[in-house]
Amino acid sequence: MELLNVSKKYGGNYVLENATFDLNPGVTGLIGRNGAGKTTVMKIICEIIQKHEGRVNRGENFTVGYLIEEPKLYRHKSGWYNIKYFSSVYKSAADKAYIDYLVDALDMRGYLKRKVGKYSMGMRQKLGLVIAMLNKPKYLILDEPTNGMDPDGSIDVLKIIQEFSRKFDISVLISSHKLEDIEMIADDILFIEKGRLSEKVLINELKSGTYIEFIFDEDEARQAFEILSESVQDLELKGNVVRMSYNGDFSMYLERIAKSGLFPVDMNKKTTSLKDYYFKMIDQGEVK
Amino acid sequence: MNILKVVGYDIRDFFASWLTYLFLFFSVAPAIGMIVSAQLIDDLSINGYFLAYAFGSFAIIFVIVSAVRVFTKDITENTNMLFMNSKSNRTIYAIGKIISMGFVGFIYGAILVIVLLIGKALGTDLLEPAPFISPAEHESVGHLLSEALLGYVVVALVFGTIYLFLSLFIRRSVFVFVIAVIVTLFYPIIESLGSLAFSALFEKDANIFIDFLQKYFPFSAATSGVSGISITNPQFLMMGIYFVVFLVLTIIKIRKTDY
Repeated sequence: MELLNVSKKYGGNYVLENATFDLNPGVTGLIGRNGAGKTTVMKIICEIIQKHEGRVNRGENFTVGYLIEEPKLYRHKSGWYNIKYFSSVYKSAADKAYIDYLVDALDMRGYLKRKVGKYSMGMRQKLGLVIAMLNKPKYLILDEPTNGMDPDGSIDVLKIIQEFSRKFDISVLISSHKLEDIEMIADDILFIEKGRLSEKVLINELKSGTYIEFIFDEDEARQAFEILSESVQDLELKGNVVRMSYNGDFSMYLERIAKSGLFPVDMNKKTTSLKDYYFKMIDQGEVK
Repeated sequence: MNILKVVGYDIRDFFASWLTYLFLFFSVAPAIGMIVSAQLIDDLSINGYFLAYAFGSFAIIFVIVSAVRVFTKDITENTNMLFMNSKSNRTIYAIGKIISMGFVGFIYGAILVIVLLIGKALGTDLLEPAPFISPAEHESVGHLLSEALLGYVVVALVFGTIYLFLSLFIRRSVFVFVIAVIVTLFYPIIESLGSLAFSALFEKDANIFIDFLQKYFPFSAATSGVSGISITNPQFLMMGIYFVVFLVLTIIKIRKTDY
């Protein structure tokens, strides 16, 4: 499935501009601030939004399951009713064994006789995920599926989403405000800012970077930054922290600043995280 | 998407709701009261038209409210978004909901038929001319019963489809209910006021205006007429045309709407 130059505007303002990407088997993370256009992209893929510019090639036998904004459920009915209802009305209705698998995978069995209105947000999200999987989709579109879940519950659900993707060869597009969630399961990442999507970034590529942080007394950090900036290109100053890429040997840089009488009070070697990458992109306005 | 399952679940939900039975009780009670009164009071003469009016006094509102509940439950819960993932699913959804609404009308019509048959079994002459009412002429009891049945189906289908179409523009179930009740209750009054305004403005007989509306916009005839079993064949035809027009408009609109 691919989007080609897809744009969407509301009231003359573009909320999505020239989005082009393809969705392959595996998990793709979609990261952006509130209002950046994540939900719009998802709704266009699912055909919930019909009017847009550009083209979406969905291929043959396109089936999609989705959990967008909040779980859409009949709150006055039981969990079982919701599952039976949606599994009946969808053409490729799931058989009992498949439903049992989904219910057990998400540990829902004990709750299904209760009315959905009495569920916690996390439980509703899980039931919404079961329903999204009922038509045995090729594509699974999940908008912040771990909202309202406790940390343990979030991790379990993310692992299950990854398992679904691998077991049934599903292409998953998942957004979350929790970058660590995306980092945990995504194979590649799309960033979106003000309706503009970035190129896809492979998560392994993104995490391959290592950097060094020198921590100075506040008044010395600026001086150290200026000294190092003469010879180091990938350099950042944040408060009293000077950060630079790690290339295996940083003794020469330490030496250089030591000659000026500056000494870091601490130093750390870190691997680049999704959070680092995201904020760097946002700061540098690289999402274009 | 499986249209039979959509309709099947709507019907199941219709019968599973206590509101259905409350509505049916309030619809049937006046007519049953009338039959009982006729049994107890020697001079009281009733016929099929009286019974239909008594039934329709509440049923005409309840049949429309029950019909629109078929799709407003999806608006309230936002579950309609789960049916909108392809143009064909959207079409199936709309047609399924319209069939379900027709079924709701059928149930109300069938209950009226049962009430009429009970009246007949207890000695009521259903076709006997009665004062204060000028009903359409029915050739036989069978004709009267079939019109009673068809009338409620038409009302549920026509008004239900119009409100389904309206709900594609304003997705608020409360709005749909309020409009449905207001139109059903007040359309005849608005029609009368319109005829008075017409008469005052053009200094012509108000009946010309009323006749025009009854012929080409027989919405009040479809409600008051159905409850009195006095809707005419041309009015049925006109309502059929409105149904087809709004059905087509609904399908076109639902296939293009962003959710």
